[in-house]
Amino acid sequence: MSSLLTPENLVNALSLGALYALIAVGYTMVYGIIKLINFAHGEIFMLGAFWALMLVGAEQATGINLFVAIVPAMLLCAAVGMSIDWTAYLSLRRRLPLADWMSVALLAILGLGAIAYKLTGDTTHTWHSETAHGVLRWAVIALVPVTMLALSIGEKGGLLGRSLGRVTSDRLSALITAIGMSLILQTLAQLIWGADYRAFPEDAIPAFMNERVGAFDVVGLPVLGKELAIWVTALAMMVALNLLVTRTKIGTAMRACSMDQETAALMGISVDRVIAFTFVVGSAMAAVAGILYAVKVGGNISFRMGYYPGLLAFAAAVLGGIGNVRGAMLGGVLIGFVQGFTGGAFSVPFAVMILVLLVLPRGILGEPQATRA
Amino acid sequence: MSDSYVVLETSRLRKDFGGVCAVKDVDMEVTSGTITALIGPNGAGKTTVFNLVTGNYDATAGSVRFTDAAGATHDLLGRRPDRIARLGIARTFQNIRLFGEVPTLDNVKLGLHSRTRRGALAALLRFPAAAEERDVHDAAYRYLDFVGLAGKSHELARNLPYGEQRRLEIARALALAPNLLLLDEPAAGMNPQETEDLMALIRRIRDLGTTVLLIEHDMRLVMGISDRVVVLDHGEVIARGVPGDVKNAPDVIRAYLGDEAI
Repeated sequence: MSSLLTPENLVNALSLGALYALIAVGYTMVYGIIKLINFAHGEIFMLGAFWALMLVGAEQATGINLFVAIVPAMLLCAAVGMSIDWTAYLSLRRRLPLADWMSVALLAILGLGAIAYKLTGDTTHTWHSETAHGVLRWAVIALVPVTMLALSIGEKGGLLGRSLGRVTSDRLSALITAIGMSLILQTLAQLIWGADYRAFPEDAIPAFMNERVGAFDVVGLPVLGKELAIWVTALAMMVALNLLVTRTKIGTAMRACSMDQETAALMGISVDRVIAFTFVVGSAMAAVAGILYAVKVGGNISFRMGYYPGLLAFAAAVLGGIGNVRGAMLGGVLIGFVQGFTGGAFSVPFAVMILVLLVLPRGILGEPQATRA
Repeated sequence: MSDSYVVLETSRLRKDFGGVCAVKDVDMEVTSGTITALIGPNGAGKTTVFNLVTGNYDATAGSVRFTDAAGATHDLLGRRPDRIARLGIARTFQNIRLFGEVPTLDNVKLGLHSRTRRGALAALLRFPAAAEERDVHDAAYRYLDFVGLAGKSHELARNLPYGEQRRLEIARALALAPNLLLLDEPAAGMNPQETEDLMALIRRIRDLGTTVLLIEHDMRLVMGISDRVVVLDHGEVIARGVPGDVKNAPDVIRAYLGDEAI
């Protein structure tokens, strides 16, 4: 094991931890308010990297600096996150017939658009047959959740909910919808950007990102500029988020909604707006994480890139105590450390999560479940 | 009270739960500057009426009209609870629903929430100016003082004794500056002295200009402070009027005590 305790691993662990924490807070904030594991969150992370890639130029550099591209990518991801809430989850929460039909219509448009895009042909780059098969397979996989989604929306969980009776709760419909949303976004990303791995063009990334930071050599840590950028950005965003949640009015409203939505509404708080805002904040942070992750790893931007980090960040949120923002930050860092010091092992972080949950079933900072008369 | 008006008016209000009709064609008026009591046996549909008024339930049929402090009349049905709260209707719950894990003062500040914010996202995001924060703090403190909890501003809400939790809930509701305050069994679980204090508090609320509609089983409180009484049974209004008349109405006695009591 001692060979794993290297300075390189420490730097890697810190960076992974910072990135997982950035994603995990999005899971935990949404869960804290609407008790939903938003599995589409990992795809927001992926979209963040793709939006930035489009802005800095996928084939040829547009001359836009990557740091400049972060802000519009955040805004776009925030918009996508909010749209997911409005189209998929809001109708489940509110049971509005109109919203149901709107989301069905939107899904139909998305599907038809994707098919049209495919039929008109993507002439800019060739797809080899393996890719085409991949698309087909993903389309079929996506059909299942889409169908389930369509069947589960509506009064009392829709057709699916009615046939399953009391087994299907509101939360289960929402969870299945979230998984469906995740696959829809992955499939769409593959249809739009293809299945190849992409990288940010060299000249879009500021030179210092790939240079050693001299100050850290003194303590014997091989820190590249990009690692430092990840640490500083993540830290700044965590501090900002903490201030937002504890000091601002919208933050107060978020906390009130996570404690008791119904009572919060009777205090004049627009719960739907607070939830939408939560998606906006979480998505913007995931976008930043996606971009920084792509910079760190290099050449890994693909429709699949959100899956594994998303799953790990989810584990981090659970480990820290889901619903607790500080817990998610802590969990993210811990998961990053476990993975970093085990040489990037895929399974060990989950094993650690399970072990911790055996002792602390609600996670490290999880509060005991509130009982209500 | 020279220019009194109808604050709340329900007309043929109806709520079905599946095949059960919980509220049936309820016509009810609440006049400004009064304390109106909504009474009736358990399961009569009283709390359902509250939930219809505050938007927590959607009515099956009928209408609910509310006149705000500025004199504008609003149709409440189909509106979301937060909108209704901002129009000027605040409530308390039968089973207390405070934000238990935060201090009492912060509970009241949440009530002030709808009044201090300006709607636009930018206004929400900005950090409250020190002066504004102080105003909110002072206002919250005044409401606590009004219900007699000034000395407990830093205690967690869940650590307060039961009677004080009820008063805190009233303070939080008052912080919305409501034109109409709905109290759902405010005296439940209180001893005679606490009930006495509560009656004085409700009178003070009315005298300061907030109309009160309350649900209560404690007849001493109902008969002691109500200006008007509406009696519900099986979701229907069976009597209404001043307390003295309602108390002796045969239908009311029958609803509470059965046919033999007449």
